[in-house]
Amino acid sequence: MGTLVTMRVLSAEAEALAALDRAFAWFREIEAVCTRFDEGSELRRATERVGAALAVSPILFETVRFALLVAERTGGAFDPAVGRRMEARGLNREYRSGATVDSGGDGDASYRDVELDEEQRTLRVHRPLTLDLGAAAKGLAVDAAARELTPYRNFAIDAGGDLYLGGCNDRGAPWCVGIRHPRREGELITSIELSDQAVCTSGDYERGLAGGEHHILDPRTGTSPWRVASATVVAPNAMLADALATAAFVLGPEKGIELFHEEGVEGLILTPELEEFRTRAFRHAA
Amino acid sequence: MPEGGSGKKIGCGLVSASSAAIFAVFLAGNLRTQSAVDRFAHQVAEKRVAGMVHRRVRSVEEGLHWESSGTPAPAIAPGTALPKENWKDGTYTGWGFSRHGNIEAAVTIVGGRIESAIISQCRTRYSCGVIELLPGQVVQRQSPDVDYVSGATQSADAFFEAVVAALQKAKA
Repeated sequence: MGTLVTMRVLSAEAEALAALDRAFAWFREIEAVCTRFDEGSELRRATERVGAALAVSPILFETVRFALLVAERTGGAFDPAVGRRMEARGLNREYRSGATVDSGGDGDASYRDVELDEEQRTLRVHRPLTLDLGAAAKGLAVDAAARELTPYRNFAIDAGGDLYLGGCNDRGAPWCVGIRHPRREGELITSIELSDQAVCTSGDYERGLAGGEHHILDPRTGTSPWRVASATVVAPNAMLADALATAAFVLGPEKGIELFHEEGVEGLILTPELEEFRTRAFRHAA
Repeated sequence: MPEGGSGKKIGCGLVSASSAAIFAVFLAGNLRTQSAVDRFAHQVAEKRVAGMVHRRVRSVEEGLHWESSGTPAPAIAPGTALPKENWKDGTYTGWGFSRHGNIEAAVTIVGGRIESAIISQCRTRYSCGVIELLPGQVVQRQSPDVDYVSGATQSADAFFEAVVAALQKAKA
């Protein structure tokens, strides 16, 4: 995922260290299953035989199922099958080795070409395509890690923009999380206070490409949306927060906030001009 | 804890679906560490969870509003003999998650049977009194398959998850 993961548990119990090990293990396992950069990953092996229904693990099944649900819900604004176009854009460099990836997918595929069978627990693609599960998989890893740490009450997980905060910080107050300023490096635009919640911020400043475009594509047009500089979502879990922040980026500020309201999450969207769009209950920290 | 107007779950769709997906993954990951002897019980448990996830995902797709009802039918093929669950005596805790906060259940096994299944920590925004009938159902049914509760679906699901998580430890 190209992400540095930091976890902190405020506990003196010896078992907390074992819980941290298990929490990190979830990141490794979920990435191994869901990465599109390794042709040996379960994701790649499950999508390379067009038309064949292949049995997949719970991690892959649930991640794909959730990504498809969000795709349907957002009318394709969020679409995990957009991976091929990301490769065409140059986002095909595996972050560790620098090796480029060409998985031979069809540029016009969409989430409608991916089929899951609930009874058989199989995945089938109806045309060549590349599935990009980055948003959903990273969020899921944060959430699985959070479940390992929940018995220890007070903890923080930071996976580069996807966070889960459990309980309170070492001063006994809700965790204070800063939201990066989308235009001024090293500055925050605001902070929020969280407890037992996830927060995810998607920004146009991440992995900028040539031509002033960024890495999030509108799957419906193949171009970079320009009306959102940064989208932040606060939700009960990170998998949802990440997916909705990504979708809002494509939907634009008004439809993004509407989506947040409909799904019962809180959020903040900033335009490139730094105009703020907020859900009704979104509160900046004092 | 109103869930929205008649016939439609408002504001809980993707929250519910994501929560169920995370639970299924986490549970399957933990089930994997059990021995071959438990493989059948593993499959039964996975199907039960898959059934629960399926119900929640379907409720998102169809906008269904779940009413309090009898025991949800387990998603197991007809004619399948249910293996006898082997639980070790002791008290085990587990967590369940909901958008309103998390619930810890403590399940006590005596003589290989569930003697009690209490709510040991209620960290939900709303009182856990609304699900006070569920602990008794776990004992009565000797299973985590508790009823849905109209108006408190999130808490009921969280309690179910917590009991499942606790019972996993009782098998280890």
